[in-house]
Amino acid sequence: MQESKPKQVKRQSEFAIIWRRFKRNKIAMAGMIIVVAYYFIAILAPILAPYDPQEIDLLNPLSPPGKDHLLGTDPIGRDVLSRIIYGARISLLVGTLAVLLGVTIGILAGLVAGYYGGNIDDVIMRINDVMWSFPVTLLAIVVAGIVGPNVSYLIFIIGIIMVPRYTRVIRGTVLSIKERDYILAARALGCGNLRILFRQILPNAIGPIIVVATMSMAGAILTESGLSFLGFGIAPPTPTWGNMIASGRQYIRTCPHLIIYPGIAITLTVLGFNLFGDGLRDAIDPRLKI
Amino acid sequence: MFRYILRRILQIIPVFIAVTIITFSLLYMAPGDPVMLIIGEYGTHEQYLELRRQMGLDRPPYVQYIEYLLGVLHGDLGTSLFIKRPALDLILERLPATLMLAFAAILFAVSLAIPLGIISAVKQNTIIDYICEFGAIFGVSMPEFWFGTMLIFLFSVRFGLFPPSGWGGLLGLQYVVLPAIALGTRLMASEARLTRSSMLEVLREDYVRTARSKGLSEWYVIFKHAFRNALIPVVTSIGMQLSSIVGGALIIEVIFAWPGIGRLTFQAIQMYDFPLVQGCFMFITLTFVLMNLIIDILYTYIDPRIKYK
Repeated sequence: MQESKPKQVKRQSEFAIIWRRFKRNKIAMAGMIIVVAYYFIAILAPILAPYDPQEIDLLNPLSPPGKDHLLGTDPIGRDVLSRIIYGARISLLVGTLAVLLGVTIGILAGLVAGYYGGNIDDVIMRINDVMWSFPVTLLAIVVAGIVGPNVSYLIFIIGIIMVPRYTRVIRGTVLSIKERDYILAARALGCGNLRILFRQILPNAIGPIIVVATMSMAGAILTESGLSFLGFGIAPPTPTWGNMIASGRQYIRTCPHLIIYPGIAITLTVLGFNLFGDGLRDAIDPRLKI
Repeated sequence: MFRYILRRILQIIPVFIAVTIITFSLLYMAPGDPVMLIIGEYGTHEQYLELRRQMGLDRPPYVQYIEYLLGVLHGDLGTSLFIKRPALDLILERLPATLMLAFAAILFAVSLAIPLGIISAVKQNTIIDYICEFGAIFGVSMPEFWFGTMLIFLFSVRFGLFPPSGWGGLLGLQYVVLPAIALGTRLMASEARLTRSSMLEVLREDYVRTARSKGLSEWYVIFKHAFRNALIPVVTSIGMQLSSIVGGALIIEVIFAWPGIGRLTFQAIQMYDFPLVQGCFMFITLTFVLMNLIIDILYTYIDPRIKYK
């Protein structure tokens, strides 16, 4: 009789399990590829762009897409493709920093509110409710319009209006975690509040945080492009997808390529983040309501 | 439930105070001296002092704020610096256009989203479902200002079906088609996704199984038993979506030269007409807060299962 080997139970890290689940979802993978490509394009813009985005060529204004200029040129002969590639940098910079700012504030507020409860929780959630009841997109437009084109304000505004979302998600997650046994065990071992918050609770709340952050990148990019379109974001000549579409509008009859391609760039990027975020949510915790 | 409604109404007070504080401080967010921004470098010193007095900037901020608050409570939203008329009058003149656009956009969104969501859910994992789902996530990802511009390009410039911009009065329906589609598409897409997932959840419920096992026809089950319950989260989420509609409406009104409150706000910002900006912002925000309040209260009637602590 053959001796049967004891079955080996392979220990898998949670990350490996999530990755396996995520990989099965083709659409989410497509989203991830778009997101990765977008970061690459933005970072490697100087290498990838065929022309200098500011280089003016008055002999070739408004040329249609063709061999020399794959996506054509704008009214003063600048290469549209190169400007789109550089435009990715602004949306990436503003989007990423705004989300980081919003997430940081939201995590701190949500952790404190959920963990300590009581009066602190009441105060934080009241402030959150008040922020929640504002039409935040309008607030961003009005404030950005008054403050004028300025990258740091833009990041600040877009970041702040996302905070209530994060606070809600984090607080909810903390509430569901803090009564678990391992938290009790940690406390029994004499861990302080800060240690429990940052070493026990935060790592267990990281899944929802990543999902919300990915999804709100989509919103941040949309808001940035909208503000730039209205002329309240980053001002020309720095190329952004929003201000390219705005300046292309007067040529809508003759040169639609000035509008079509930057718009496709925005839509694809936002689509990528949305698909990626959806896939992450399904892989990490399908019941998560965001 | 009465206590819930009362509490919900009392919650408006801190929101109202926050709205007035933020609106008031818009004046202080401008870089540098707001008076200088408006009169420019060619103004005389007398003009400067006059405008400063007119804007109330010669008094301490807290006095200004209290006066502002008292004014708002009396229905005085300030006076436009350039048009020299009360902001509220200017806003009310543009209210019909904005309401028409908002109504058309929501009508467009809901009348497409709900049938599409139901079909997707009933035909789950078929090609129809995939097309709807992909279309929906695409619709959520498009910036409305680009989509609006593309609609103008396709349907006005190329095919000449609809006027590219302007307003033809409340009966000028051909003018409202493109802006309403541009504004409503995001709402339509997200409501369709929500209707689908909500329907899928409800179709798994015991009472749906019971209804089926009673031998009721599938359509009867879907509409009488499932759909009515699936609609609840869809209705509330329209309230959540209002925020993005309000912001989107401003951009759409600008693109389509639609003479509504959003475009008025935009023009006021461009001219640094601070009282008018404040008036518009205040008006839109308070309307928004009130609409959410109404939706919340209606919600208690739609869904009696929920307990309010």
